[in-house]
Amino acid sequence: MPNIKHWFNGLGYLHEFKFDDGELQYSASYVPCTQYEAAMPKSKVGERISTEQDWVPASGAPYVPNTGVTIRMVGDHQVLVNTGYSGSNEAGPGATWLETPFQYTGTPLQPDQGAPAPSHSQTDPDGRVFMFNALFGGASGAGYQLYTVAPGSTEQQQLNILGPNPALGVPTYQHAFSITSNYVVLIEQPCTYGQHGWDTFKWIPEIGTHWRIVRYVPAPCRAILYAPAHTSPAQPQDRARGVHVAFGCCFLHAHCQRLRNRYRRNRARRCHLSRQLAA
Amino acid sequence: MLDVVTYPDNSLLDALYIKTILETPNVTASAIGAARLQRFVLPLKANASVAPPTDLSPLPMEMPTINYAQYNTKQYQFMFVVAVWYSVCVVNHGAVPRVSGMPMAGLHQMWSTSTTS
Repeated sequence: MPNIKHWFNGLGYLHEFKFDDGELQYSASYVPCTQYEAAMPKSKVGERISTEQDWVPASGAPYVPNTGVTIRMVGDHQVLVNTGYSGSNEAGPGATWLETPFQYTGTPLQPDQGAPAPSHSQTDPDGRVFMFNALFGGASGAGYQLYTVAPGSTEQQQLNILGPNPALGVPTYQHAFSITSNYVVLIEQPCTYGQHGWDTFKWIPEIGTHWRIVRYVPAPCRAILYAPAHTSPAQPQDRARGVHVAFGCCFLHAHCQRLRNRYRRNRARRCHLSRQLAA
Repeated sequence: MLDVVTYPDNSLLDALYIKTILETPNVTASAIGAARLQRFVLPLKANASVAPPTDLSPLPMEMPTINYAQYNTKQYQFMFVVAVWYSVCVVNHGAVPRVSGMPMAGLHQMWSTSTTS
């Protein structure tokens, strides 16, 4: 077996339950991402794994976890599967994969090899995927790379580069984030971890939780500022209320409808001017 | 305004090591039982302090989601979560409550599966 020590590590596995006229059909298969190929013999890619010997890594390649899998519908019968390493693939009915796995590319700043994206992705109403990578230093610096991927594309559009946790100078653990029509909200928990999973996990409650609020302009997506906010460092009464470790991050209100309306008016005005110039 | 499942400390992360899950499931169950669904109101000014959150339910809850296809990035009224609570013998009993959304939150409705023993 791969050396899986923590619930958050492992290989993604897609389950499909189909309800039809009172009958339930079940299908499942591993997400055939690059991490899966590294961990499995080539001949096993896309097949079901049922025995322990099937887990022998191909060519002695090191095992790399690929969890952080997020599933979004991209059609009536298709789902887009994103893994924790910016990998992606699409699956159709029966958990069958439609093409070979790919990784998002295209931004000038790529995370160092092996740097995880420690969150679930989000998708806006236009179908753009929002994700981020943790940057652990090297050529990319330290911090977070926030980006979007347009529907039907594999190319990252960089939204913003955020600095590391101000108290530590390194990225801290984030599990989930949220988007509204105008903001992306990241939650920096007071936990450090390394590029290679949970063995380097360290709990530092005294630095508190940091919230990164990134404002962006919808379509075309463009970041215009970010505003870090801070939850007070751990105090006994705060610990009792529980403010430091956040996992399920559901929703942020749309505060800036006025800004969005202004953007739409400006876009309409630009389109009108373009038509006049073309004429 | 942000609705988040929170935990008081990192006990859950420690409790989710495979070794802990297999050898001491009560530890894992107890850690998951510390989950709380809370609402934060975040200031939009840089370096501002965040006010203490409000609890949306006294029950431990996880896996929050909304009607994502229709209400993602928009104001929503209902959130779907899984409520879990455990007895000392790690009997777990799942339910799917709907939590009423804006502006006042609270437990709206709950459906429970049959309890096992």
